[in-house]
Amino acid sequence: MWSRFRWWLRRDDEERDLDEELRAHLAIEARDRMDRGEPPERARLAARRSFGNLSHFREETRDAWGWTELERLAGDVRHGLRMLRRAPGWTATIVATLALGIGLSTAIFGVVYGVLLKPLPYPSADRLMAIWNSAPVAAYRRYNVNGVNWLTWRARAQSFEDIALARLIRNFNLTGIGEPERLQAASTSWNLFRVLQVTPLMGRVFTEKEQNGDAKVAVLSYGLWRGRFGGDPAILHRKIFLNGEPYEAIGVMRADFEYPTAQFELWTPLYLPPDELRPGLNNNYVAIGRLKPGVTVAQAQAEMSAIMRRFVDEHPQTNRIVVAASGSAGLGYIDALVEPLLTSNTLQVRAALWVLMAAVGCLLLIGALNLGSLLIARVGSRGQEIAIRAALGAGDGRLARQMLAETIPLSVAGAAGGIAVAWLLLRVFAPLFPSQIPRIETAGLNVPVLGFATGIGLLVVLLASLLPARLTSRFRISGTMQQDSRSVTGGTKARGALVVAQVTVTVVLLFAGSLFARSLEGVLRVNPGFRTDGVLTMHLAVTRAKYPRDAQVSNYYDRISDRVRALPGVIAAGFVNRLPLSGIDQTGPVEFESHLGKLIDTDWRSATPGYFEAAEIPLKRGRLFTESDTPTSPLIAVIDEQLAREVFGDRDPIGKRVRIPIADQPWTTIVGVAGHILNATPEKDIRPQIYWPESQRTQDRAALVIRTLSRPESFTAAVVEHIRKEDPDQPVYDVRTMDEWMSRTLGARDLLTWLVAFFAAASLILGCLGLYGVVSFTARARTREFGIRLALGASPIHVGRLVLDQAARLVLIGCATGLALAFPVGRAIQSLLYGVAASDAMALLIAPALLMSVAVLASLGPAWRALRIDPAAALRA
Amino acid sequence: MPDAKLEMLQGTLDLLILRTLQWGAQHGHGIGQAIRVRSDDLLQLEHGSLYPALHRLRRAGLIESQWGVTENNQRARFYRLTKAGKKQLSVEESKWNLFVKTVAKILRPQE
Repeated sequence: MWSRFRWWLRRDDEERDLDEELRAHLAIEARDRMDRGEPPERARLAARRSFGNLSHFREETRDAWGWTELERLAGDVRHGLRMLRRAPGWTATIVATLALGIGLSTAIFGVVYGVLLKPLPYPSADRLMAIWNSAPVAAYRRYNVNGVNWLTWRARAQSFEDIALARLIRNFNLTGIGEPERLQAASTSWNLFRVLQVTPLMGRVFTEKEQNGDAKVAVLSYGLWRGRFGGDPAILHRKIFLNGEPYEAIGVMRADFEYPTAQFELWTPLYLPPDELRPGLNNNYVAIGRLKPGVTVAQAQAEMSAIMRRFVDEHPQTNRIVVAASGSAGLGYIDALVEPLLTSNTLQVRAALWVLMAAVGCLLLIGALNLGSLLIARVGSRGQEIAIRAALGAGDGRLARQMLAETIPLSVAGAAGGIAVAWLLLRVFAPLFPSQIPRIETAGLNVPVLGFATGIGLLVVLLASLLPARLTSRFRISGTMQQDSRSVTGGTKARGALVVAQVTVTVVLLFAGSLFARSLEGVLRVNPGFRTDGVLTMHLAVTRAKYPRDAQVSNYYDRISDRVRALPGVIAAGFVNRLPLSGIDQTGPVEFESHLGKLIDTDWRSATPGYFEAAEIPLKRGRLFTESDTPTSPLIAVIDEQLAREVFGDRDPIGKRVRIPIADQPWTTIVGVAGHILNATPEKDIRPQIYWPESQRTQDRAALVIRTLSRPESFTAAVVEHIRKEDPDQPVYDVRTMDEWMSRTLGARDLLTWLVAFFAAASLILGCLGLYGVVSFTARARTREFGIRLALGASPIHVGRLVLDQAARLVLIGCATGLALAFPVGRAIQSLLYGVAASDAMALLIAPALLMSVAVLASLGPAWRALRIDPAAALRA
Repeated sequence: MPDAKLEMLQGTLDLLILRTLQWGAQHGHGIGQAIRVRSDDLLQLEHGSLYPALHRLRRAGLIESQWGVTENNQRARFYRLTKAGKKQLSVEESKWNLFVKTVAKILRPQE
């Protein structure tokens, strides 16, 4: 190809050389003849004559050079452009279809690429692995690791260059400079930066010694350094106050460092206290390993599993797990799971994004089929022109190439329009994607995404023009130039096949769309178990350096509650350590005195009495917490109705005792049963709940929940002001109404549903257009046939039915294949559904019913025209 | 034998050109003449096939060309075998010989 191109670049030189060579040839020939005694004039003429047709011969030589193909292609493209200009409506339809299809799929691909495919911003990022504990028997495919895991793995695993450990929730109150602020931070092992192979922009990262010595040092993000410290170059010698303690800033990372996400602003050494290192406990961390070059994930997985197995043998008691949660009982061993870090990061969104990609792919496919159908129709209407060209000697390949060349301008325009549409969509819609999606902010038009758009454009047009290209060969034989309405059926058959394919894809897409819609409906119907309206929430974390004792913390919470409750318009206020629907959990097993050894996985919550009041969590039995539950009064707990039912059935749980199943944890007495509320997403609301009084089980991070008379967001300033009156250095963060948390929880599903529904609707429209086009086209083509039928005595109704029959047949075949495909598709998206079965009858019926009625509507017009055919006029036509 | 011109067999033209150039560099006209003379006028080259063939061989790297002057002081393009061309020639020659032998055997089987 390249050498041909080089020849083409030199074609002028070559032309000149050829001309000169031919002139030389003639001169030599003439000379020879003169030498043999012919007079010069005759010799020259004879030479010329013996040579033959000079220009024909030049053409042949040029053909051998191989540029003619390119020149012809350019000519064909020019011809194509002329043809397109002559049919502006047709051209606009096609370009718009293409631009929309390419634009939508490019935009979705932009998101998919940015989130799922783009390599993480570290050298050889494909060798970075997340390593988890895994207990599939307990339905925990991956869960956090502990210090013992890390030390064991680091010491034994040969597959990894090194393994780092990080605690991703280690947030700090930054004080002493301006407004107090809550910083999102991670504490990490000293070797994290080595594992990721990153270096700081300035200063240094912490050392192993600093990690083991719990040194008060911190590494800052570029954003924090610039935003909060004004890019002060002397930052490295400054002390910053984190949770009231002085930390030395030792380094600033580069702007592109975003571990674990771009929101993190600070990294501190991860100190593992010796008493925390107990097998099977304190699973608070995530582990990242860098594979040695050439080691595969499977090899690493095998080695880690072997290590875990040996570890179980060494500690038979702790790493055996007893599963008793939610009815399923079993016995198993804790394993390790090794997976690429990128996969691990995008676990939550992977399936949904691929579903979107598949849906938009279906839409694109339907668009391409429509395009094919339009091109065929055009071949049909140009049968005469093509026949003439064929009669004048254009070969099959030549005609096919011409059809292709005519579509090249279409694909270029379509791809360009598509890129513009994608750019617009990404600008408008990318901010609508839930911010929990990792790296969503990086979704945009970049080289791979643009490449995708171009590739898709070419592919679609190539596919769409293959069929018409094949059809052209038939036109040559079809009675050549006396071609009329009878000879278009070939094109109709091909278009019929396209319509069947369109209907098939549309059925599948509509089916998936209605499954998601019904899931969304199910989710919206979910009762959260408490009242979300009228509630303002905010988070605060206590600076423990200021309030070292638990009693001081709970006292501080009480004082804030009292102040807030005194505000006019506030009905109730209280604290809970983890806000429902906020996406942050605190879970763990509990054990009942009456059922020793039976561990039940629960949501742990510490709450003040005001929390139940503010959230309106109903009391089912016994009592809730009161002011008289103090650190010194008897230890108590409240369980939810689900836990009560699971453990005690119909018997009364009040007075029974429960605890966290660790030897030194005290028993607490159950005083009440509360209603079950929605803590996580509806899909993952699997655990029963238990509450302890904040005063007896104090936690330094809490959410303040405030019930107001109306317009909860308007109370923000007043509440923050009252908190600052209690402690001016208290940062307040994540201020949102409860309704906002609720809609965020549903947000991802919302978007998924709307997008799939939108793609399904768009395909329905395109599919209907295709169907209508084919039905009316065929009806018109059969006008003469209908005329004959009517003349021979067929009733108009019968003729009308012929039209309807054709449409119905196409749709029925399409629906049948579509429904056959719907089952595997339904199974594939099962994990994304909520409260609806993948074989949902409603969803299965909706799509075919919709398409059938559209088919009838689409054929009504043509059928009506067929009814009114005047036989005489039709036959004369 | 008044009209005893031979039709050129497909594929043999390249072989004849290569063989002709074995004796030294030659221009297009000369190649045509040489083939005519050496075939006792039985083979008449169509000019329309000679130059495309020369071009083909040149692109395949079997021959190379250079502008020069004939003994009659006429500027002309001279063609010369390349190393690859020489190799190709011997391959083609033995293939041709085998072909001729085989065809002959079929036409006049030895008893």
